[in-house]
Amino acid sequence: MENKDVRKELNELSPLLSKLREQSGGKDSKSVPEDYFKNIRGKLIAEAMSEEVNLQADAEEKNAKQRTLVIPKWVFGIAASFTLLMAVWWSFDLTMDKGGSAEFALNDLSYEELAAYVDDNLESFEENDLYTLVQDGDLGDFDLLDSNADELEMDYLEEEILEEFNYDELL
Amino acid sequence: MVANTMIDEKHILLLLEDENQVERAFALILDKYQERLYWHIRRMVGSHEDADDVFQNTMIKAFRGIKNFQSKSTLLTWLYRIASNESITFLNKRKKKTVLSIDNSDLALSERLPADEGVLSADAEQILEKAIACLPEKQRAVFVMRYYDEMPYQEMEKVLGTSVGGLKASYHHAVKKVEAFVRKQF
Repeated sequence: MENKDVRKELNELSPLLSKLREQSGGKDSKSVPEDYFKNIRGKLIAEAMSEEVNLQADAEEKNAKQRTLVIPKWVFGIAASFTLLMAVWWSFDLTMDKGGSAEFALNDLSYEELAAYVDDNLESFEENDLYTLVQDGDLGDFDLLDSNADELEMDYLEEEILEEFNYDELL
Repeated sequence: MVANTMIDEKHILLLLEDENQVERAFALILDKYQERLYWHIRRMVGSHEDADDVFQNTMIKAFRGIKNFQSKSTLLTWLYRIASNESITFLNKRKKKTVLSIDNSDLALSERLPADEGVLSADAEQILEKAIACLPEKQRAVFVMRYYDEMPYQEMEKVLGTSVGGLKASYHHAVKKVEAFVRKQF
């Protein structure tokens, strides 16, 4: 340490304090109880080691808590993945089922049932479609069009054929 | 006294790197520095009872933080910093407990210092101690480190976190206040 500088500085600032310091040698008159430093050393080491043990125990406890927290996270992760897979599979399966069952239901209908459906919903069908069905024979000899077949045929002729017919050619 | 002044600080730091040697390293720190730190604290807080409490807190805090010591300063400077902070914290707490104003509480502290403590021939020294007790905490720390420990300003800067210029000004004011107090007593 810069003893000379410190003493020179003090002498310049206060010759009185500088003189006092020289007399005391920089030591104060206070005392400590007998064997204080010896006893406090042992006490502090014991306290520090006790604290070290506590710190280690705390660290182990903290690690244990962290480990228990990690396990549920993995479980949650796996469960979430599984749920997602199940949701995708179920969604895919449902789509397949819908298509498959619809087709199955259509194939499963008898000719009479189909005809009855058409008959019940006759008004919702386009006349052209019905005529096409009749012409194609899809409805066979079903008596559906007994009452208005001629009428439908005339309508179709008017709309599809006569429109294209050139009247001028007749003249 | 178990202090071994030949123990190298580097040796202590090496021991601290080994978990199994922490106890030994701490014991060596106490052997090497406990008296200097105790006296630094004692001059700051006044009585042995208070100094004992603050010193124990200081060393336990040092032990807790020693594993994170990064050698940016010397071990002694680092310990001084803890001791100074603990002392100033203690003085501030004690001041808050009193109903007296700041200046009066410092005077009250100086009055509480036992007059019969130490050797009989130390009247001047006792007056000096009372004068130091009247200083504000930070000024007191600067005065104690400079007057008793003859610590360079650069080291004090690391301990107190105050610039060298600020420390010089602080020491100058402290010396003048102490001198004035001492002159009044004679």
